[in-house]
Amino acid sequence: MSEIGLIRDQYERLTTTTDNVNNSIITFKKLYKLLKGEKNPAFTISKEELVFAKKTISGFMAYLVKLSNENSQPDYSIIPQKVVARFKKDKLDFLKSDKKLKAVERAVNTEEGLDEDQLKLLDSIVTNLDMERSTLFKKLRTARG
Amino acid sequence: MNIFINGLFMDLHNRLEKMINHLYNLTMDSHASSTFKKSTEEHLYALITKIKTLINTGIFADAFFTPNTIILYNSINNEFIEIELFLYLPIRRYDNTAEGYFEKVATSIYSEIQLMQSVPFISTISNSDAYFWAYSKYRMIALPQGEENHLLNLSDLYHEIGHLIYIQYEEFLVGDHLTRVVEYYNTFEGSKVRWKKRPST
Repeated sequence: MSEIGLIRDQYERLTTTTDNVNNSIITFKKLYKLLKGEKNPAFTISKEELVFAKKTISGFMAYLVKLSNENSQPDYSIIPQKVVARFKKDKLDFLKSDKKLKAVERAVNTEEGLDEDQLKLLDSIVTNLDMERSTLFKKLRTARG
Repeated sequence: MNIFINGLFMDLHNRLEKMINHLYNLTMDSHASSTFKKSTEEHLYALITKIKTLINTGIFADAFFTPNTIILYNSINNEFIEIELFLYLPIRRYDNTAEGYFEKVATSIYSEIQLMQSVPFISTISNSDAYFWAYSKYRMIALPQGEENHLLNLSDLYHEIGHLIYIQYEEFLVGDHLTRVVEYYNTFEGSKVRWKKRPST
């Protein structure tokens, strides 16, 4: 695979992960608002949307818990190897909070859903993914093969 | 902040609408160029539909969703930039003496090597620095501007056609070779080879 092919492959994998996680956070935020009693007709959630969000967030939390373990062999099809290495090098907070990640993983399948702090934690994680995605996109625009 | 992000989406929406209107009034005669134009229109329609759906979700009115609407915008804007750069601009720049000529050359090559793939769209949107490149996602090949006057570089066009062949026939051409290489480098023995310094030449 050429250099451009590798960057494109990494970019597309990271875009899929970022978009899936971000859309799932939006679903859980709508659920949070609805459970708080907010009546906004735009905040309807379909059954499929909620199932997808639960599956995505719980799977992603389990993945991050595994990632925070030094000796594990992560699945680089979810987050590319170079991005994982950068996350570990920068010692990002969410990789140091096993307990919080596991709590989110458990909470997604409860009727109460996620609380505000858990949603903020997810926002910080997805923002980091988005920043890495932007870096790859810039590389993609300047590399040719 | 959300009003600003909503404005960014509206701006993208209006730009897409202008691009769609421009393409609607454009006639492209050859098979490769008209197919490329049709595919571009489909991408533009899909993106504008996505934006319309997002605007109606109601999340732009609430600051609670701001970090997520920024990410949504980044995703859509990246898609927009790709479409503009690799689909729309090549069509705008289409010229019979350059692109039209290369279409005939590529058609002739495809017929000569009996390649069953459809002829890709060829555009002279590249430059001397980026040189020849292929983008298989959109089935296009880019050449430096004015390349129709430098026929000695034709071999590079064959190289780029090779990328498009590789994408379609990868399994047949390399099988599981790449997977096995990756697996090897992930083993302990492989990692020793990977980190070994190359001898200086």
